[in-house]
Amino acid sequence: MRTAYIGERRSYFEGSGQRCTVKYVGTIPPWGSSIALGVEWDDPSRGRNDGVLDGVSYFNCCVPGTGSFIKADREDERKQTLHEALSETYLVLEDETLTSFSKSKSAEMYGFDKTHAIQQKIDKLETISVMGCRISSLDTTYNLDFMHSLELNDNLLEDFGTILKQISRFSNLRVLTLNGNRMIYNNDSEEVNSGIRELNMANTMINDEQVSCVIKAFPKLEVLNIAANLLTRYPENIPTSLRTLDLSNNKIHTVDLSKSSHALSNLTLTDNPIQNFVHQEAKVPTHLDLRGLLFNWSLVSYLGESSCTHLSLMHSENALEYRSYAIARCPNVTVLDGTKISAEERRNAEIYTLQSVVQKKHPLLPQHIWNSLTSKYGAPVAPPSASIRSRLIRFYVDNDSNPMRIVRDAPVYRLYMLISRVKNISLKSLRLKGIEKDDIALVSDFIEENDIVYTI
Amino acid sequence: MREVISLNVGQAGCQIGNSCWELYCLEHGIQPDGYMSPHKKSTGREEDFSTFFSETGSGKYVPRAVYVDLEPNVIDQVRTGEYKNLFHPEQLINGKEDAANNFARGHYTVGREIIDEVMERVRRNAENADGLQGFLFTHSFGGGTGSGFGALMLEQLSQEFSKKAKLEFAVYPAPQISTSVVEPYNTVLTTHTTLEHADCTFMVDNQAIYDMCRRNLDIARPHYQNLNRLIAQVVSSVTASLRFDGSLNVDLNEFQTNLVPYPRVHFPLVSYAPIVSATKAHHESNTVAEITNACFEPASQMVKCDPRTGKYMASCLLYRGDVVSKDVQQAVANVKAKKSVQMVDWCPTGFKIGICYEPPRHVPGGDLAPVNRAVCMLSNTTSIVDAWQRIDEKFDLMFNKRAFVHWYVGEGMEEGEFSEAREDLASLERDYREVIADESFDDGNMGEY
Repeated sequence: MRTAYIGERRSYFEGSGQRCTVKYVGTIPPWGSSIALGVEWDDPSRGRNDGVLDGVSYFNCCVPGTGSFIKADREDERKQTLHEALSETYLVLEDETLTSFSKSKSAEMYGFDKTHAIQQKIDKLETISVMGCRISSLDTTYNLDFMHSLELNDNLLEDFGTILKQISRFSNLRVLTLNGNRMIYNNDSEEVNSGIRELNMANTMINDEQVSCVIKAFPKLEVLNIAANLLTRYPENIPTSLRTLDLSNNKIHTVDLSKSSHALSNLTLTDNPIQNFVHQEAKVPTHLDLRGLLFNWSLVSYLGESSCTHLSLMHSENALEYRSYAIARCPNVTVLDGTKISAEERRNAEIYTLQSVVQKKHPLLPQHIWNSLTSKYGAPVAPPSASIRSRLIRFYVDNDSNPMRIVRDAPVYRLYMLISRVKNISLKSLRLKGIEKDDIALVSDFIEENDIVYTI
Repeated sequence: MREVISLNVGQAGCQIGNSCWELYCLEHGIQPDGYMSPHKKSTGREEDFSTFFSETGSGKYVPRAVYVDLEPNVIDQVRTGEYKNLFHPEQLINGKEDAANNFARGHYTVGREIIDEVMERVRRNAENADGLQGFLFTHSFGGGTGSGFGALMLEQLSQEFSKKAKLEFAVYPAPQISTSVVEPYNTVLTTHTTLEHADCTFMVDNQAIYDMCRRNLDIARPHYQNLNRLIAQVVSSVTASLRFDGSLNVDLNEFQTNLVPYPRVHFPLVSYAPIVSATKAHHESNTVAEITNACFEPASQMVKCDPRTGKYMASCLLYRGDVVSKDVQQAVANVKAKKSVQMVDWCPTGFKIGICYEPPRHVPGGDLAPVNRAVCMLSNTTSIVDAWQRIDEKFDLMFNKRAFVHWYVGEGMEEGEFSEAREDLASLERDYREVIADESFDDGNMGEY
């Protein structure tokens, strides 16, 4: 049995491989003198505690509740090198007829010999995926000069510095995917890789310092995906060549777009607790995903008139009006929340928003937008004076001393209905002197303030 | 050799056609003007352009396709759109008067006026081919042109090209994004008319696609373009083995042999995975096991039905991209352990699994995340009868009161045709039930007790 060390990545077989990081090696009271390992599981639902046992804290977890203690002599799964994983993945051709699928049925495979013929020439492959293969080291004697894209998701890689050194041998590597690995980052590494154009490091639990250490190593990066990590701020030293940046699912509270690179055209900030969005004097990316951001209309207005054309703001539609208002405020946006804005939709939305503004259902639009919309469609008709009280007429019926009130611009039949209800006369038999029941005229055409209406 | 002609009929058919050809061009490295992209790298792998494209003397590639619509709008968009130079003007045919969502107009009155011209164009395309395999139809069941004129074309085709395979991709109507109330009528009428003529029909339920866009791709209000791009990705997966060096269903006829045990029972259920947006892609690693598993989830199905309630008569899993046999075996074993997948007793093999090394291609500006592998499952399951039942019920609701029938009668149809069509659909439902009539069901535990 190998002895564990702190920071070691291990995988235990529990139906499928469960990966964890060793955080504590030593004794715990319940198990006496036998050695226990305090581990942090990659799968958040697997853990039992935070490294605290009976009030004593043995280690800390990056994600709360993912820690637990296991016996040190429990057998872990064997780790592999990249070489072993490649051989295991690409050199094995399984029998084409599978074992029985259900009762008497089998599944037959066709053509895998053909793809196998391509895949077994590992040194000629452009795309290599070895995911969840318990890889702890990138050692290989294969010549991977043709490799363009390498997927290493969910493995047991430990030290980022070493990986950086090892991938420098792959001269044609442009896309590196390391999602789901938990690594150690040393700031002193001076290694720089100028080959990689796209780096995916989602769900690797890296924080702000580690990200800046990672970014430093890839000066030619064009695409960076660091979603689902522990970032709290917008990374500062992003390379000038970066075009696409995915920061979704982090803990970012402040975004300062003026720090972004000029080339950045595609920025995703979904599901971050952003409170501060600094955008002064900044070039706004053309594709901007801000779903989950605290919503405010002035920001929407700003973005809608910037260089942004593809804007995402809402997870799901929570208000029917939202989309119309957003369209009206964003004359430059062509795709909102993933849906193209057609000319007809824009027209409807703009007219609707103008109406809503005068009806005070929506905050005032910025002056120039208001001007451009009203010049397009004409100024909207203001609704009748706002307060209902000022629209009421007071009148008396017959010799009653108590006055009744009715809205000035209500049609006459409403007056009939009101009186019939109050006087308890059926609507059919009710007649009012000088006022025809079927008249389409308004109440104000017949009665003035304090008039008396007589029933017949 | 082994050419396939695509026929895109009606608004939905033409728009899906657009998305499909956009994707085919990307996959084969053909530019919107029809010339091969100078940046295209030779992969050294076999690629059969000639099945879907014909090459002109100048080195231009022209899709083997005919677009037909009874009204000019949609086809004018093709004529003025980004791909206007890809097509030969003769391939784009439109009438002047639309079918107004009326099967009868598409099939009888308005459709009759241009059918000869259309058939002439199809014939010319067919003559252009050395060894025509067959036709690939895209149309909707609900629209007037798609249902009526599509059926008319299929009838004529089966007279003239009786030996050639005729496969359909048909959009099954969904109430939520429907444009007319008479969609159930059109669907039943067209299904009845084409049941004998189409060899294999892949249905795409608008509702299912709509839900996928909302649920998996985070699009709150999916637009037709969103739906069509997704459908195109599925169509591309189904036809990948025809266009690239595939292994299973490399021939249109093979689809029938593999999937259609009885001529009328020819509506396989299509599932596709992964359907995931770029912003959600980091949550999944898209291993072979994950995408295979997802394929058996109802959320990946193109038609809403519950396969657990029925039995599979035949099933093909078509992988594409970087997939190795070891992972496939593992994935299928997983599915076997978890899901209640029941095959009919008389079916000789269980699953047929094919692979095509060409990975799916990402459409720039598209909703789907770029991926290295994907899987498409075609399964002829008896549970798809749910879809027929749903549409039949809606048909009955209206037809019991003879609602809207006068629109059809006004175009020269007889009420008798409605009853006849409905009768035929009822017997289609019976066909499905009979398939599993004497079958025993294990209670979902795969032979374990």
